[in-house]
Amino acid sequence: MDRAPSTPTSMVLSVLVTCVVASAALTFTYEMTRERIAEQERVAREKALKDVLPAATEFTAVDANVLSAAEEAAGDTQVAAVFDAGESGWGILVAPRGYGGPMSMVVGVDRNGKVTGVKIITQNETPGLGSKVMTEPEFLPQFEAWDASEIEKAAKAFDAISGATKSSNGVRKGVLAAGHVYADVLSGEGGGSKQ
Amino acid sequence: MTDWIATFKRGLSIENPLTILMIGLCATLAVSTKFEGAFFMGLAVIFVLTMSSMIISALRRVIPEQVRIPIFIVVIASFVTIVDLTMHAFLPPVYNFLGVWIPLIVVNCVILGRAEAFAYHNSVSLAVADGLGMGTGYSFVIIVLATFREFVGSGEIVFMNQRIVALPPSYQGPGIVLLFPGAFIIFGFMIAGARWVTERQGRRVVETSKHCTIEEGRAL
Amino acid sequence: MIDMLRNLALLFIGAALVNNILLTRFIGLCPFFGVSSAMETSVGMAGAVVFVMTLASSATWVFWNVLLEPLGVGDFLYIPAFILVIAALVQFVEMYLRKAMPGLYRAMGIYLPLITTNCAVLAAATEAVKPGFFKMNIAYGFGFGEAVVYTLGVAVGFGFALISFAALRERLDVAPVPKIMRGAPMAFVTAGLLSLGYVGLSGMFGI
Repeated sequence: MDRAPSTPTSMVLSVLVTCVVASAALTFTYEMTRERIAEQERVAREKALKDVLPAATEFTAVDANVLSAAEEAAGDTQVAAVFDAGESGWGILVAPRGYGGPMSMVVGVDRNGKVTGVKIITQNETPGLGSKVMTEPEFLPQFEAWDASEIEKAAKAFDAISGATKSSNGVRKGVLAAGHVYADVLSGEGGGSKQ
Repeated sequence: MTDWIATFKRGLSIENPLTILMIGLCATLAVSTKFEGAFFMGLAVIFVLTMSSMIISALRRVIPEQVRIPIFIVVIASFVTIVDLTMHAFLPPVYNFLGVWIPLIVVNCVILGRAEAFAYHNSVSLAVADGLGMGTGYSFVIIVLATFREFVGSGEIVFMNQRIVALPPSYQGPGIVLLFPGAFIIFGFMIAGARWVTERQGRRVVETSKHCTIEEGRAL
Repeated sequence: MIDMLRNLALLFIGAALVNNILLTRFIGLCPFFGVSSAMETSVGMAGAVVFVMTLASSATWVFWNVLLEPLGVGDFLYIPAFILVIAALVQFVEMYLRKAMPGLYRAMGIYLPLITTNCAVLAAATEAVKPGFFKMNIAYGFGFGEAVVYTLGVAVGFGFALISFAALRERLDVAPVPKIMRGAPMAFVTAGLLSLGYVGLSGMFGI
């Protein structure tokens, strides 16, 4: 079969053309899907926030300096965002590490430092084992009414799911981190002044 | 037409990429914990394999031999990115479950292997048949494996949030089936089964493509 | 300083053993089964992977931080861009070795083309710039030094698993295995048992 000869010009040219066409196609696909992806993520996050703080009507992200103070307070666990829900309290988005990598979850804390709810947005735990942290009916509710200002004490009484210890501990770590964020940063009326 | 059907069927049986050629294993073992994940992974592979085979075959006369690999890779990577973005936008739960395995389709030996061994030397229609056949063969094995693992391990099969089959909640499956070590062991038995069937039919075809393995100290 | 060294050491061990890319993440299985039938090829492959993976991650780290991220195209162009960088790098390494170090080329040359399609290389390179992406339990961004140490850890873990598996397979060749299980099927079962050992390490050092 007659194939195009491998001369330097033809080689450079063909790779170049392929790359340009490919990037154009991808840019187009990206533009087509970008809004939908952002929308999906916003909806998922909004829904989780609503679940842990049902009375809240509006969620506003806190200032960058409050967020960085929160990141410091949380130690090893990553804090993705903190939302101020007015009278209802705060929604704290944390990403603790489970068995299959970071899980994205929301912890709701009210103005008095009570944990109002915990909701996992996404996780990558082993299906059927670690993923039970999302489906087990008694697991997530146990965090409710934990006292965020004395979170270490509350965390002593904790039931992990058998067969999913690492994933359960991941969730616990996330709630602990949120407790620290409340105690160190938010309890000072969200002023960003640490301690 | 008979050629077309014969090419299509090869991927399903005597040249099945997973059980016979044993290429493209990583994703297979990793995502086969859930029927749903395996199903969409299969679809993604069929799409990428067929589309890239088609494009590469159509352009086979203008792709210079010495730079064919980079060009194949860019073509494949583009289709993979299209699948990645589309799934992210329209099937977020599946996207989240498959995670890294979608981008890693790029380096799935099945796809580059077929581009190199088949699409670059054959007509567009045969290349499409080969892509569809290989993709279907791949999907078939991964779905069987996932159905077994999900059912035995967690006692139910869930598809798009619908429970299709479920054992009573008191069923406690052996967790090892769902973990990494279990995947290796079950797949080992599966290959043994597939080989047994192939051998009983009196056929023995093993062809492995370049870039995927080494035999007797030489890259094939 | 001590703290930094300690963190780097933990990062290395975590990447090499606790989160072993082959046996706990399933990434890079094709070469794992493809070349492990003989000790000699495994050692060659392991060496080539350590070499190329570290180089590739350094290259993609620079590429990402200098070009893709500032231009804002990283999200949708990183897959083609990285794989192309890796493929080009492998080509150049091959050409350079053949000219400059024929001895090393003879030992490593035949493995180089295979590395382009080794998913472990792409995975490690991507993880080094998009932490957390490949679920290897990293929760913060990497500097250049950390990226290199991390990748080196992944690569050494890859090589270690590959060589130990090859040693097991050499023994298996003379073991009385039922005919139907001989070869690949038994290799998978063995890999499962080996993987069981690595899974036991998970969670050590809090990594």
